[in-house]
Amino acid sequence: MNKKIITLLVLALIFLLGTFLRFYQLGKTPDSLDWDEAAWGYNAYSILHTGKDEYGVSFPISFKSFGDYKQPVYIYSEVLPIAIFGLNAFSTRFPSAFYGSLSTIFVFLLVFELLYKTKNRDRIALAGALIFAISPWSIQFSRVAFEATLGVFFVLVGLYLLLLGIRKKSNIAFVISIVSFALSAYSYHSEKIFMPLFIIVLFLLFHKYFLQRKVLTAFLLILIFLTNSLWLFNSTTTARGASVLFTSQQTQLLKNSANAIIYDHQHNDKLGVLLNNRRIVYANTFILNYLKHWDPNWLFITGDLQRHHAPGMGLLYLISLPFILFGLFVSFRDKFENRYILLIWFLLSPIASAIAIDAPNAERSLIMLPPLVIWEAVGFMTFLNWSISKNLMIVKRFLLIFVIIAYIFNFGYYLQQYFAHTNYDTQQYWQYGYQQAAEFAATQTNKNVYFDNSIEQGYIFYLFYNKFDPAKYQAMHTNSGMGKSCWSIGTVYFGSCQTKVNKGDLYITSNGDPFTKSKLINKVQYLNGNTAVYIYEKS
Amino acid sequence: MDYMKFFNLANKKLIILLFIFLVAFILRFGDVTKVPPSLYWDEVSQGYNAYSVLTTGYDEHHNLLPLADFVAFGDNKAPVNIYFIALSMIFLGKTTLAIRFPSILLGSLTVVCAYFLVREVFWQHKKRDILALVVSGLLAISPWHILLSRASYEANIATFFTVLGLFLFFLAKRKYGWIYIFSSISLVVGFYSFNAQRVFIPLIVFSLIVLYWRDLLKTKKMIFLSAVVGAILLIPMFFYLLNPDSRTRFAEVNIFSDSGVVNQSNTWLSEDNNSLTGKIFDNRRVGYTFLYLKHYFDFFNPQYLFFTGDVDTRFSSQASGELWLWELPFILIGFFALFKMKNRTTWFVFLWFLLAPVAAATARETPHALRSETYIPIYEMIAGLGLVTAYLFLKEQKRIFFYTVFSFVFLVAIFEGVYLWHEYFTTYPIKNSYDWQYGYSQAIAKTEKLQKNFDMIAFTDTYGRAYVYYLFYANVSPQTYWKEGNPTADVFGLYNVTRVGKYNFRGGIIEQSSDPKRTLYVASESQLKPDLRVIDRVNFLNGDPAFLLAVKK
Repeated sequence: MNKKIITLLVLALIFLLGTFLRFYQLGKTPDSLDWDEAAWGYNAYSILHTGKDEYGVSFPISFKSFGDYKQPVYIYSEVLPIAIFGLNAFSTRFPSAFYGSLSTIFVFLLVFELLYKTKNRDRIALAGALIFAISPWSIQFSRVAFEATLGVFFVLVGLYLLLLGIRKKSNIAFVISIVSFALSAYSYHSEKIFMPLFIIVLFLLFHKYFLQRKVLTAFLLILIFLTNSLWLFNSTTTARGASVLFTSQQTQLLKNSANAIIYDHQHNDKLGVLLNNRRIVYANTFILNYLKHWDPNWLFITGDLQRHHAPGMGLLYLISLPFILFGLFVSFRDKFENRYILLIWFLLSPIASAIAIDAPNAERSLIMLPPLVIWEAVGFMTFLNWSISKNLMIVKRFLLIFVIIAYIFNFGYYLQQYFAHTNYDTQQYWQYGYQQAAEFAATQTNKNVYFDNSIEQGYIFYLFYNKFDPAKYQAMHTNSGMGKSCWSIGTVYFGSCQTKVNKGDLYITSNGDPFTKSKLINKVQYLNGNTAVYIYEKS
Repeated sequence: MDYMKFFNLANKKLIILLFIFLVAFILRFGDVTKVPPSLYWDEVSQGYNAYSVLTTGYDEHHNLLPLADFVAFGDNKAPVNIYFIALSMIFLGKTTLAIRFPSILLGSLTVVCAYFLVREVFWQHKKRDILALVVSGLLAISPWHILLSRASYEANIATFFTVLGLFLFFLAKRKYGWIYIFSSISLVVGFYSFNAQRVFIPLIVFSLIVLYWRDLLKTKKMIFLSAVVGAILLIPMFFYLLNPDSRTRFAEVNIFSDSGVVNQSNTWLSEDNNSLTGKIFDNRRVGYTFLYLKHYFDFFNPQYLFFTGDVDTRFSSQASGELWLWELPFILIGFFALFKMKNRTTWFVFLWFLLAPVAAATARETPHALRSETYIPIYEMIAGLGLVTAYLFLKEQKRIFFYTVFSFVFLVAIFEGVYLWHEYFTTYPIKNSYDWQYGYSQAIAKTEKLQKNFDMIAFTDTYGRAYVYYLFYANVSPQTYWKEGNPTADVFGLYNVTRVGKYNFRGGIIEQSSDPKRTLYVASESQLKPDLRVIDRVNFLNGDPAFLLAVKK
């Protein structure tokens, strides 16, 4: 009993730490919203006040936004925070931080359930929760309005309840589990690939249990189908998914293969024609993209896009590397009950990212994090037990001290890099300056204001930061989003409007003066001194 | 099994091993004078120095029988390969084949040595003989090792002596203490063979001592004797390493002279107003640690390992990775099996794996297939272990499963093999003849025919190191070169040669106003001005012009 209370207390502390790391300066680091974040926020604001999205569609399942058809869970999750805190960066990013923090607890529960037959499972579960709580990869995406965190959360919940359902033979748990899995797909595209595959594997792994309960199994299968049908049969959602597949960039992808085939034909090389087949290019590209998610440089040193990692480091702590590998090894050496679930989870997780362009991608493959965290916890705790075992060896103690110092140093380095340098080094990737430009535009009521196309999706920043009345916007707007032709909200113009600018009008751009000899009346600078946005008055 | 019994033609393992050797040799030897299409400059330089030593006893810089290094271009080449080439020239003459033959032969023999090494290292493994044959077979067909054996690379010689030396060490440890002396000699020769080995061999020897000190103490006398022999053999190298010349090459290519890290650190420090945490974490030492690890991890780049290999087309055909993709699952299984063994073999193999790129990772160009060649035997060892483990495991399972898995792997392996074979022998030389400095031999043959009619020959140096090709292909004797050549060292200690007898070597515009009327110009296309008349040409294999022979109008 005593032990249980201590475990819960420690878990509470870990949860608080994880929550603190996700909510501290939320909305201030990174110090600007990118266009997708602004779109999430404004659409939720629009739902809150009118029950419709920016296009006037009532309670959509998929939000058109810039034509990328955003998934619904994040937007609906934002409604409450926006109602409470108003429309700002903090409330926009709130759901991400909230689900990210809550995931810590579900990592604990999941490990506790996964290692049901293992000794010290409470300690390993606590280690897992702690590692997740301080994981740079999780924190990075929990502090911005990206949907990936939600997808991971619902998968954690789904798997936990499924395991619980099997152990306790609880049908309620199964139902919630299935719903949670479905929610993960409505949260983020990656889970649309990952989750169905994962569920199939889980049913295969537990086929003994499910074959004995045919009615339940049939019911669950129907439930899975029904809960997922809304996205499965939504053509806009699937079209968006298809547009980011690597096969959509055919010309570039197949250039070498096509040239080689021409060469082979010229030289009558039949074997060459066969070998330079484009299907082989596709297979190679997929496998390479997949394996890029195992690249230690990507994971531990460089990461990918600037928005996906803290400056000067990768997605995970360097010191995690040996423990992840060791934990994986131990889980098989000691034949852990559910070792295959973690391995298969890990193996399935990069698939969605690998079939898309720009692999490796830390956002699309965030679902890879939990198995890594759990292995690291297993590896670290095994190491800890070994290093404090009675067989006294000075080497063990030194190694333990070294590892602990290394963890502390890695953690310190991360905090320094993230909180001291993110704003300096990455502002240009977070569309810094658009906020100031949008707010400035709203003050110029007696002049026409033009947003250049270089201020990408400027209209959403204008709507967001000026809390433009959604009902009014829905009534007036004709052509927003991806449209590039000239259109306006009142006296504020967006799109390709250069030719319509008259003397005395204001022109907002992130490039130089397009008209020569305009008067520069204002500009917004990045912290590093470069100019983010110029505001000209045409003369 | 005693080695006396092993070498008996009734022994099936010996027959299989001989077969593997034959396959390895054919894959390394077949068409080697055409693919790669020509000798690149280091090969020619080694070839000419070997020729010079063989005929005169002196190298091209007139140093008598160099022991620690051949100055060559000022890059201080390791001596072992050059002496092997000299030896091979006795039999094969001054030919392309003679230059490449030591690498081919020792490369093929590495495959055989790997068999014996694996047998000794995995002495406690139930299936050590099969394992050893599998590893040897994998090494025989390794694209990484085949390609590096098909040109005259010092690294390939070094790998042979490393594998041989380690095999002799384990043999000595198990049975015959006196063999330690030969192990020591072999490792020292490895040390003399290639720069990266100067880091790897001390590290692996140190690992051996840490892991096996108990065994070593059993034969104190022999260990002492081997150490003394090794130390004596290292004396010339010791003096060479004291000399600052030996470090110029390292300084030229290493990452720690990269000022980017310092600039980044300073930027970060100022962003955080020189705070205490900034001083701790944004320290340049942290930056250099990350940079080093980045270069170290580059060796695990999946594109490099499994898809296109080294970006340098001399080390990789771009048609396969350094390893076969089908080996990947077996490498992973191999690691698992290795750690499950949990004995000193585990640590030896794992340490070798970790140490292989330690030297190469200090260079800017990573991943580098040549400087990390020591990886090859260890990767194949781990893959072989995985293959044998998977085979034994699947044999116990249902047959259908066993056959499905292995026939799939077999099909992929065949496909990859055919793909590489086809690309390498049909399009590789055509696409990459530029990187192999193709055309020198043909161009020089033409100029030599015409040279009687001209007072001067202005030869292009845009493809680099033209003089050594001239010396080699025009059969210029070392004595003539010492008299007529003008090697001059620049600030980095690299030598330039702009004149040998009638020949002038020029980088910029080929024509100079002071040229005599009867001058033959041999230029790359961009060096040529329209006032010259092209009389003949040598093209790269893809049809682009390489050398244009021209005279004044």
